[in-house]
Amino acid sequence: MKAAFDFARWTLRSVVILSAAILASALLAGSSPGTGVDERELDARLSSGSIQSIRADHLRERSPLFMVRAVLRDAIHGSLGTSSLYPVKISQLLKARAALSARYLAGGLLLAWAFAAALIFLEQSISTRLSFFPRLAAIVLLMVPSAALAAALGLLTAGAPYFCTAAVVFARVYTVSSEIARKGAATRHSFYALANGMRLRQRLFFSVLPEATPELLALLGLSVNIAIGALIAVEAVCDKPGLGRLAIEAAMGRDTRVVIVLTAIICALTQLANSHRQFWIKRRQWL
Amino acid sequence: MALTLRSLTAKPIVLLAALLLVAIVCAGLLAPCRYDAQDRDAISAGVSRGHLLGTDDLGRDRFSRLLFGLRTSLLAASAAAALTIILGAAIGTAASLAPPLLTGAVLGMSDLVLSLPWFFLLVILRAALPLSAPPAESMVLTFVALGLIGWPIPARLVCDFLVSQRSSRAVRYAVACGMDEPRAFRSVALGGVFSILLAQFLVFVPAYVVAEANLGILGLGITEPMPSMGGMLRSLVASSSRSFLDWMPIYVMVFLLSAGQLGSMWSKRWNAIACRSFSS
Repeated sequence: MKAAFDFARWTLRSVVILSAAILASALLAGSSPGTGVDERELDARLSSGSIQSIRADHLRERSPLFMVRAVLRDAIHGSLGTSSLYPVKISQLLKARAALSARYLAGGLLLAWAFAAALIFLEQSISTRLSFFPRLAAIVLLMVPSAALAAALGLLTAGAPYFCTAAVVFARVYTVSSEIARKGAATRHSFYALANGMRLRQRLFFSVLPEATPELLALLGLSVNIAIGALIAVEAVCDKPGLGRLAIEAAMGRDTRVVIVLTAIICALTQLANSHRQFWIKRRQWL
Repeated sequence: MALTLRSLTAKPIVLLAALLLVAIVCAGLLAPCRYDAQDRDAISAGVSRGHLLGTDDLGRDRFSRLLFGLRTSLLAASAAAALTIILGAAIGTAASLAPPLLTGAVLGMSDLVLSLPWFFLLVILRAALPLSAPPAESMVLTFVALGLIGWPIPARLVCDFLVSQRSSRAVRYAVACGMDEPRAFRSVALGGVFSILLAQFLVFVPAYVVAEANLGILGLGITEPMPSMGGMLRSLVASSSRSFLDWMPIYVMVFLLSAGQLGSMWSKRWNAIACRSFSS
């Protein structure tokens, strides 16, 4: 019963946040300069009445509520409307690009977490002194713009989007998870286990990891957020036709509908990625 | 002050970064030319006595542009970070004092901003502002956009801290000693809020420099001819030929932004080695 109530509360909260994000993006996109400018207004054959009518149409379309209603209506029909930047249906536009972005996202996250986990395993099972160089690398990576990193890696390898996303996520994930592991290893019961003959490796799996799981899950949700942000710059610089590049092109080309749809998708994705930690932490507290 | 100077000299990396920072702030005095001066006889020239880092494809001195670009990025990022901190502190304080319903609304709004990836939000917000504005205007727009979207984290921190301090032991002790409650709360809370905000400011300055560089590379940053980190790095993406000198802004930026952390890491490492060799 409590779990059902928690789920209903989380769903309601997510729907409210999603609706607010869609409305805010519609407001932003609709009020940006250049939105609703129509080249037909330059046509000398059109009378002033026709031009006024075109302007009135655009003015109506710039209203955030009108835009959201139109997007929702089209979403129910399964097409999401037509892009003004590319003369195709938005659903087709997304279908072609989502697979590529999902691949980069999953690959980058997997690489970053695997590398961070391997380094932490070595630190905890051999010596914490091994953390010096990974920590140094993480500090430097934190200060490198992801777009510049993509430009540099793009010169070296075709898998630059994977590596660049992984590098951006690794810098954040490693720094935090290494600290979590160190804190977990410094607890009293962990020392007690060592004193009673538990090995370093056993301590990591049976003492440190179970203790750190909620924090690591929260970090996992956050790393999805970080990876999506990095992908936008990476895809644009590496010239890969994914959702990130589409976001920049739509924002710069004043393609309001695509901006609204992308905001909704990204907001839903990050809400979903961060949902598990609430249930997990609540469950542990209840236990 | 003496202690600070001693600690600075003990960490050569930090000392070097501090000297570089002074050079950047005094860019107008140290730069050999103006950032937009073009030498038509030395287009894409290499390193020479006249041009310490060579020239770009318009014949502009790279060294001067680097100094001015770093100055623009660092000063504007500091101003944007200050804007974020002021906004965050004001919203956080108001939320902590407001009735629970209003506090919930403010925290919900911060949830909304935090639910979207930071860079996505920045791109959407920056693209919604005029893209082909004059250089000074584009700089203001870019950094105001940066300053406006960072408020939820300091606001949440300040709100949580102030709410937790209301019934803290320090406030209760001060009241028990005769101080009136609002004054006790103010004197206890203000010090804590200041240190939270200072830490946040120091986190936001490098984050904003990096964010501006990302925006500039994507063509959403400060417009030419005003130099900035993003504008200078745009040549990495725009041109097909990239030399060692094209990457110079990255080296300097990374060194400058991470010098503090690198310095403390290095000194800890050397202290540990010194302790080990001394004990053996």
